[in-house]
Amino acid sequence: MMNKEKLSRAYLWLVVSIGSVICSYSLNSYIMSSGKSVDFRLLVLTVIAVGLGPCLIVRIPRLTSQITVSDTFIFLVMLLYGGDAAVLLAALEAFCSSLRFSRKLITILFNSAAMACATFLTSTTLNLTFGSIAEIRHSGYSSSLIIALCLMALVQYIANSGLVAIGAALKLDRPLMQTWSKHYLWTSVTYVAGASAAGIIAQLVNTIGFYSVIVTTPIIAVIFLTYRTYRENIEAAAAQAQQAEKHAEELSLYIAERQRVEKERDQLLVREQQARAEAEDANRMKDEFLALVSHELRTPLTPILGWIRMLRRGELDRATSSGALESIERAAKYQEFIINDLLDISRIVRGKLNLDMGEIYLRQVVEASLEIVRPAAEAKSILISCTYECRGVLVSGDQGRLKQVVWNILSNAVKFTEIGGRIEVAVKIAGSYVEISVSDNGIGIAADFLPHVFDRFRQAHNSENQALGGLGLGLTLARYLTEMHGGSVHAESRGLGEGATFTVRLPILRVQPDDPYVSRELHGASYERTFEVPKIYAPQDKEFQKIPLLRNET
Amino acid sequence: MNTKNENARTILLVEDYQETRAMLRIWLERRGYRLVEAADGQEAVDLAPLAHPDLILMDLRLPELNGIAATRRLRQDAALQDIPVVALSALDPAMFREAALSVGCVEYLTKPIDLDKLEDVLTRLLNPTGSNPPPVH
Repeated sequence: MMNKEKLSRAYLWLVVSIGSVICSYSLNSYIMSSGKSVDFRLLVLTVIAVGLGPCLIVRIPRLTSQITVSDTFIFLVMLLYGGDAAVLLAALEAFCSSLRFSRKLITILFNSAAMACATFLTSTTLNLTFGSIAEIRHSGYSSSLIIALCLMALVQYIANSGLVAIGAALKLDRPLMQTWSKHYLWTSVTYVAGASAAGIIAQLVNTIGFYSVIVTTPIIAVIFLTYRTYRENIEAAAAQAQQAEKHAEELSLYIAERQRVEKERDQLLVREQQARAEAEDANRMKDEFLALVSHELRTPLTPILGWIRMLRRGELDRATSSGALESIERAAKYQEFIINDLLDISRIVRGKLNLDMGEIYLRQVVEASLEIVRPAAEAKSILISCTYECRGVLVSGDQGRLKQVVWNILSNAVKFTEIGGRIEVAVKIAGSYVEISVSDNGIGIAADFLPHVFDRFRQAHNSENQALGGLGLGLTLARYLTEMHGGSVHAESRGLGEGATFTVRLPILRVQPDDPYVSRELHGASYERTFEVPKIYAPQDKEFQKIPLLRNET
Repeated sequence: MNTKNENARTILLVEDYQETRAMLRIWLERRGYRLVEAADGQEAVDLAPLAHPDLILMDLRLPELNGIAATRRLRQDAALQDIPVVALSALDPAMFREAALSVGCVEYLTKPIDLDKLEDVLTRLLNPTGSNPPPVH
């Protein structure tokens, strides 16, 4: 980096030195050739070039280069007064116009020197090609003038832009050709136009005299105006392009914003629809639940009122009467059970359910629950087996409520197990918990319903498949009550028709091996007890149902 | 008793609640009807062609196949089409009466059942305009 900078500075000073030498040589040469007197007309041209040149600069938009009319004067002086005068004018003019945009001496000197070098190279080339520049001037509008003008423009352009481009490339540390083509390619216009204008003016001076220069002012003005229009057009186009780009950007921002707003609105709509669907779902479930409550409360009233009516009218004999009273009692108890479930769930929801805590042998709870579901299991010829893998397990809890938990899960299993099915109850220790698992080979639970199996107001069966059997609150109650005891419940099923396993986990208070309740019945570590029901007594057995029909048929 | 039984009308009682079924069984038998019972909708559909009852008392909320679906199926059997089906249900008639009638139930009686009303319905449906009952199959 340091080397590059040094190289760049060295180059600048080298060009300045060469320029100085050329200027000195040209000055000397000019004085030698023209004597002490200075041509007044050259002075006028110099004043015009130096005074007007820097004023008539058009910067090329977005490029560091510029278009000037000074080349016209330099070429004109070269044609009229020879290379030496042109070199001096070029150096002076470049010096003055550089002052307008730079305060750095080295830059000003460099520009001046580069211009002097380029002009010197041009005049030398012309001298070498055509013998003498004066020859060209006097050759009229010949092909050699055209060639000379083209050569003049080309050499001046290549030399000047080349010298400046090398300086810029060294300073910016960029490839030369890239720098040149980017910044200086378009300045060729200046040289070509300048050379052609100078050629025309020189011819006019030849034929009309020096003051034709004044007549040619419009040409210079036209060149300048062309430059300016050219620049203005470019700038206008660039400004328009920029404006269009800005508009496009604004538009794309606006579109993006609109899309974002739309997307947000869509998301909001989806969320709102979901919330509404959920609310509607909850509402529908409540409506269905209320309809179910009404149905379940009305149902037992039919036998109760029917039996009472027949009893009152004395329609029943003694045996039927006592059966009727039992039926009334069962119906009333069923209604009481529905009401109790409703009250329990209401208390739990309001946080008003109190537990009567005590130390309880878990086995006692399980046995009592088994006794409760026994009639229902017998009615469906369901075999229940119970295995204890532990003994003397004490838990802290409300005996009645824990019984409710186990009984609800057991009666759920009975409800969803086919006639003649099988239910297995297992009690075992898992860490600091005791697990009661109830497995059946019944209808199972669909995977999509499994997560909702303990939810309030939800029943798996659809309207095509409804059974009388309470409010479907049993599992919900079981979950709440277990959780109130610091335990948990969970359900497993491999799907419909695959049976289900419900597991209740309760924290163990302690294990007391000399459990008086257990020691009475327990034989060994494992204990199995089964209820086996003779099929013939099951009133809901399908085979049994068909007996009266066959009798009627025969 | 025998003569009565021979002329007795057969009623298919479809009801899943045991207590209601027991009560209606006694009540209907006391009124001289012969009874066939089904505990769910599927059983009713299976039994009806065999028993060919004169009337069906159909509960609506049933396991396996509900009363409405069962009635719809019975109506599809040409041999059973003329058997009047009376819906007996604890379900709100405002919600289910229309559905029950649309599948072919001729009456909708709400539970708890008004037995006087049931008796009227049975008399009307099984003894049309006082004509002699048709001979029992």
